[in-house]
Amino acid sequence: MNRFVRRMGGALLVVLFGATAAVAAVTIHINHGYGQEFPIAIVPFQGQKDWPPSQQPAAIVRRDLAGSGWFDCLPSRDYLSDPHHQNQVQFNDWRLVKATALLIGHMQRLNDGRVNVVFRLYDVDKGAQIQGLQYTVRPRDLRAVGHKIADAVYKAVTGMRGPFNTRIAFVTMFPHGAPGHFRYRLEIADAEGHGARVILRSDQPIMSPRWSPHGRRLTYVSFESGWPAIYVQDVATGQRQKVAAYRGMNSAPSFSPGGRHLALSLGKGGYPEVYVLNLVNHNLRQLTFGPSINTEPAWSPGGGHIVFTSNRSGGPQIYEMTSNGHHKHRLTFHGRYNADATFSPNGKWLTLVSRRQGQYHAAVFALANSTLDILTTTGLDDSPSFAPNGQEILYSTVVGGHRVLATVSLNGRGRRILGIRGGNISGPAWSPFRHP
Amino acid sequence: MKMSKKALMVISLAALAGCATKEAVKPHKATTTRSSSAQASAAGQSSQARSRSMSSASLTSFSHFVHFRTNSAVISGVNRKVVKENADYLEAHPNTRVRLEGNTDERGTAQYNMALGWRRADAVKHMLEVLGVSGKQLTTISFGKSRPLAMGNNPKAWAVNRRVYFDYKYYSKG
Repeated sequence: MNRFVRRMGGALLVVLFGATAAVAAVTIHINHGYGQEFPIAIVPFQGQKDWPPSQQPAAIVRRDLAGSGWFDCLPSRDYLSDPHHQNQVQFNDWRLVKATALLIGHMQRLNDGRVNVVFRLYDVDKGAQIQGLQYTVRPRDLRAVGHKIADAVYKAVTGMRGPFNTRIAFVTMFPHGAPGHFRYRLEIADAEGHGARVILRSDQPIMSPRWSPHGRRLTYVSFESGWPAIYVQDVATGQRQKVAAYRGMNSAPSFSPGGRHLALSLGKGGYPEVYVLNLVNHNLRQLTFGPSINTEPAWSPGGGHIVFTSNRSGGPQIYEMTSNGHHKHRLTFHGRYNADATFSPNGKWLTLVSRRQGQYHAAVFALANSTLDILTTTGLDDSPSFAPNGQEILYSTVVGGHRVLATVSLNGRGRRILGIRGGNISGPAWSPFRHP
Repeated sequence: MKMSKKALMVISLAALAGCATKEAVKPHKATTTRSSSAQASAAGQSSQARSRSMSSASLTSFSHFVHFRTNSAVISGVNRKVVKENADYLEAHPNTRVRLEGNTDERGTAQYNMALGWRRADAVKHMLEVLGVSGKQLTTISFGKSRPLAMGNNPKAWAVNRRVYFDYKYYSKG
């Protein structure tokens, strides 16, 4: 929270009177079985019309929650009243539209240019406030406030931490000059793809950004020297370091959960093999051997295991080994193309790309029983990664002839296409939670 | 020595042809602005190009693109001829260096495609060496799927993009 407050530039955060007691008194139980959605009414906040839609808190909350797969956001045209303050709430109005939760709020520009935003969340059945908070922020931080409110509602209703006030990293490419030539940008945006900030530009490919465990650094592949090399870059300062530029292929870096090691795939021995690089003493250890492709290593949350893609059996399949390179065994047997697996935060699932009838889908693999579920209907998916709460997957796909970023919830009901404009967008990675 | 190497290559090529399916992709037209005549001669194998002495062949008289089947790094069909023409040129010009650039189509994952592109470039390098080209003239790189020549999301564009490109300019531009 400290970090958040600092980022907001001295934002004020006040728990509204009565809210603490209400949190203790009210319990909402929802069935965590897949397919269950929680009906919520979100009244447009008083005063938000003065702001563009991308900065209207209630609009941001609605979009976040609707895409999460856990909420049925009731359309505002059905509402019988539009309360903004505590004393305007008539719970019967909301029982009639079958809402079980109600979010109201208002916002006001202050004399010093900052904006005050207040929200209250109610349990309609019990007629009680669950939570109420206010924020005072600069206008540029209004989106973050919207995501914070969405996180608060998500937590209150599902019991899980909300994934909305997080970031994504991705690569955009724009044709430049002759065919086959592009300009590439490594960018960071909020979890909805807004507020993108370019952290690296190059006229050579940039690929596969991955976050460090606390979201302070990114590692990626850049060809800016003419040859592929692996870099680690501090997101806030822009400071960066070339950590691997061996002869041949340098690819597929990913941070260990402790942040001291990178797993990566190097071609210096003649074949693409998985190695672990110690970022402190620069020791390099080879974990796979043999004349096949071994790449796309990803660590388990505890750091004890690494999954990777290998074509040792013919086509690409997912294998697992210990982080010392022992006990290699094949995990995926369904289909002839399974690649680029990453662990869910709880270590129980993998998300990966799986081919069915020539179509490449984002999929989820359950480690407990080896089931593989396809999550999408699109056919050119790539680079799936879990939200930090493990409930959604971010991936790249092609919709209407454009490569875009999309999310799908694990229960399959929440789907969004992120609103990023321009270019060919690929290689997304969802950041971890912000840490204090 | 060189002769026996070539004989060996013929045998291994025959073996490759035996296991390859017959959907080899012809070098695609309008891939680069570099040499429309090279594309035409490679695709059409005009008698003019065939009758030309190899040692005097110019860089623009043969294709610089080797194409591949989906998820494959096997050089098959007409693409073997492309490699052979480049090998002849490189043998006749031992001071010329070339960068072999492996690429893939957009299907599948970015980093697996990186590795696949590398395997394609290595396959071309290996065939060139078997044909007698010095390894000192050759370097390999892969761009995976990050540098498509054709921008469509369709089989035709994918066929164009599954390629190894002989970049003769990489080392000549200094």
